[in-house]
Amino acid sequence: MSPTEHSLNSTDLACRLAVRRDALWLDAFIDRERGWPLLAAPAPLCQLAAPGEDRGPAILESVAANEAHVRWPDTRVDLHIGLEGASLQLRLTSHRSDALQVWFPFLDALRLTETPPHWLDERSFRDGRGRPIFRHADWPLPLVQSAPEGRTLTVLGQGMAARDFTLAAAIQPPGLAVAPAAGLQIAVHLHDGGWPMAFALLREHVRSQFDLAQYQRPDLAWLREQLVHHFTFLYGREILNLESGQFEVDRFLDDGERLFGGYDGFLIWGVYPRIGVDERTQWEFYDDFPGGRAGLRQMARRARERGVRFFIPYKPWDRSADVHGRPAGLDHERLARLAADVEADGVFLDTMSAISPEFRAALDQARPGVAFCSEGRAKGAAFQVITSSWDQSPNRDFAQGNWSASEEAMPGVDLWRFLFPEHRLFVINRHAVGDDRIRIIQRGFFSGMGWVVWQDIFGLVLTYAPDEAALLKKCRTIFREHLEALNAPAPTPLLATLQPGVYANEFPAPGKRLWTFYNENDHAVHGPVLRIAPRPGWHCVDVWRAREAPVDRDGHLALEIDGRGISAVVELPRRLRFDPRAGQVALTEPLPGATIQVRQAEREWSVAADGAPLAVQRLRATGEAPLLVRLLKGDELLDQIVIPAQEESDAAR
Amino acid sequence: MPHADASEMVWVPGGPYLFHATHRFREGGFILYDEGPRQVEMRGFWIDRYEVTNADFRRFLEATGYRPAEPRNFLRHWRDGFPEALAQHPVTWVSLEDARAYAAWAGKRLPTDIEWQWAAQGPDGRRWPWGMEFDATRCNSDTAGTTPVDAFPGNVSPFGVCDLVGNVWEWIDVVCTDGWHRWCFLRGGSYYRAKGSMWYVEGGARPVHHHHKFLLMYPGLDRCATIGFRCVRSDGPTVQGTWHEQ
Repeated sequence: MSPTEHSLNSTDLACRLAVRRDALWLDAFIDRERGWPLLAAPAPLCQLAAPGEDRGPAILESVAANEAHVRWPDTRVDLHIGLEGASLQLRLTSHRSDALQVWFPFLDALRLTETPPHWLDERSFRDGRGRPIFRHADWPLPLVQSAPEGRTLTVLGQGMAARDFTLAAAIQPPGLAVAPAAGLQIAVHLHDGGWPMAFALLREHVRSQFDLAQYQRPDLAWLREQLVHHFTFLYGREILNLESGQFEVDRFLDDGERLFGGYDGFLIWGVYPRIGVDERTQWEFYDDFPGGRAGLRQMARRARERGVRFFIPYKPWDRSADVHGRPAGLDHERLARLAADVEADGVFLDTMSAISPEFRAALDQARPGVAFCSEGRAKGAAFQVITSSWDQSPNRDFAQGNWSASEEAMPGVDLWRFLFPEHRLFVINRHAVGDDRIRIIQRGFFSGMGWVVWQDIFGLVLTYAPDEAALLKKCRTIFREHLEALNAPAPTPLLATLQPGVYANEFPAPGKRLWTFYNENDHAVHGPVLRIAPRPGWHCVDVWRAREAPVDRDGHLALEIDGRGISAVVELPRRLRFDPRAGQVALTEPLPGATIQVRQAEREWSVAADGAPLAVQRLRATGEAPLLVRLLKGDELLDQIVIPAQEESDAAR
Repeated sequence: MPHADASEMVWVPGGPYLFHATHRFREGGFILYDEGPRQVEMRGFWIDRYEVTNADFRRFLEATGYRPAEPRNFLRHWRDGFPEALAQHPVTWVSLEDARAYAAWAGKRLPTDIEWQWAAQGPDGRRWPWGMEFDATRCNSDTAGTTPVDAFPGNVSPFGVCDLVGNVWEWIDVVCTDGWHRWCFLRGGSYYRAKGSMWYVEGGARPVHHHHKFLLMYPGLDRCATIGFRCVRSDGPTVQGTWHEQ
């Protein structure tokens, strides 16, 4: 005879279960720390529907003080219930040979306050046209309920189709589908910190399923400083001198600096579209390019001297030699040999999203530190080996004449980007021009990704217009100055904002916090956009417009964002102080190795941050325009203040 | 005739010609872009009955001592000495520049795109030199290597020009540029057909109206095992009408 009631306790939670014939009820659920009942009223914990069957009685078994087991023998379903710290864990297993539907009505009765809660779920992350914002949402998003002071209930689901896990599907028929002989899991977490912490729980949950050792390799860490890659078509004048037939890497890199602020890496591309005209394999091309392998090695070395990384492509589809019965050797050995011969930094996996392990091993042996970047989105097991990939998800089929990127690009947020910040994504839509290309550049900035500059699509030239190039240059410059935040391990996508149609992502690091913004409205927005918890002694800088971003006493951050525009704010410790009466800028504390950069109008100059106060009068070229004073260490921006022309002239009087 | 190269020439008469060529745009969709159709009036010219052979090219080298400025892969198949077995095969591993040098020596020039197609197709719009349907027994297509230029007597155009499709691609002396690239066109297809991927250059013999857009890099890469050439001679322009070669 099994009990009909059972109480479970953990350090933080308590609950009481009751079996009433076929139904399992949650009669109580308590936040023990606060003595707060989390349940507005008793509710069924879990309900089942199997086609054409009576569920039969439920049998409750106590396992431990914090664990219970419920079986529906007729339905052949088991449910394990456990309390662990501040979490309620439900693990349901179906032993059926047909499908089962299940739902959890108690979720609808969960309350953190007296008032009916507002839940976030997959349906909450929609843009102005009702389309899902999260792309590559391969895991169910959490269901999240937050109290104003930050107390939060987060429900993580596992085992159901990602997009199916909505609040509506979780609490009522027809419910969530369980495949034959499969299971699903629901975990209810009680915690502080609102959506960012809820997202952190998802991140932790997902990451625990991956082996991220490749991402911790010091010899691959350089990949995380890569922001702009260039797709370098070797038959085009970007790198080829059409007169001499020789490559000109310095001219190519100079152009990149002038147009885009510089490339961080480039991918040479010359095998396709030539390959197949005769028997030469992809490997033989590298002997026949101008200068051969030695020439390419020189190119790679010269680029590295200038801080630019060198990528070679691998084409898995080059199988003709095998088909014609003259095997060209094992690809992983050929590739490793090529990478060593030309001293490549990276291998681009053309058309691929996965790679067999012998490639990683062969490269590690031949030339350690060679990174992979795949054209297709690396996922699953491949994601553990391929540590960067292209984000060309909004790439439509060119042949269909239907390749508008702006439809898809913004404010689309890649879920993987925020779960695995160490995997660098490079945004590219090779055919996007005009407004579409602007959206693609914005997409990279808003989600904190890198970009691929690709102007020569196998002979089809789609150059960047000056405004497109300038936008990318600005985006790259800002990210270079905030790499610490860009590579922050725990970013949060899609914070709740204070204006409709304004989206924000947060990238918090120990030394600074970065927020990126997108305004999907056609009109500009002004005023409070985000509520933040300001840190004492820090201030906010609008790095998009190079000015202070005001934060009021309630933490309302005010900003101006153009219609369909992007922006960014960085919160920094105050290190630069302007004393208007003395007309001086001083450092709050000495910072060895740092420089102070001064900008006025179009002029810019630097001085060492040696601790001596700087007289503003002597910094100025003219008295007219405001002064922008920036503190940098290397490329990283540590502080920035603006001295209006008016204040300085007051001081001078 | 300044130099007596051994290749026999064929008279291609003039006539009204509805020119229409296609090439494959090599991005995912494989879109065919049409060149033309354009109505032009052809004037007669002479064209080599066969491609220039290895033996022909040896005569040129012996007469001129020609050495290309960029030697890589020049006559790569002659590395172990002149390949006697290939004497009557079309010469390959020659760049457009090498082919031009040969033509200049022979008092000829390389054909333009429209000349080659007119010589191969004649006035009736056929797809292959011999007619409308492909016939694998009439040409060297999808095999392991080149064949003598006269190995397929049935590979003959209405004007008696031979071995136009298959065996080797033929250089066309039309170099285009968009300021970003230089390219020319290749004609006729070759013996080689890459297999295993749709991303390769189209292989085997190609129809007479097909030209392959061939991006040039430098002679070392541009010389191929599958590209040869033949020459033409004319008194003045061969095309009348609104047509302008690029």
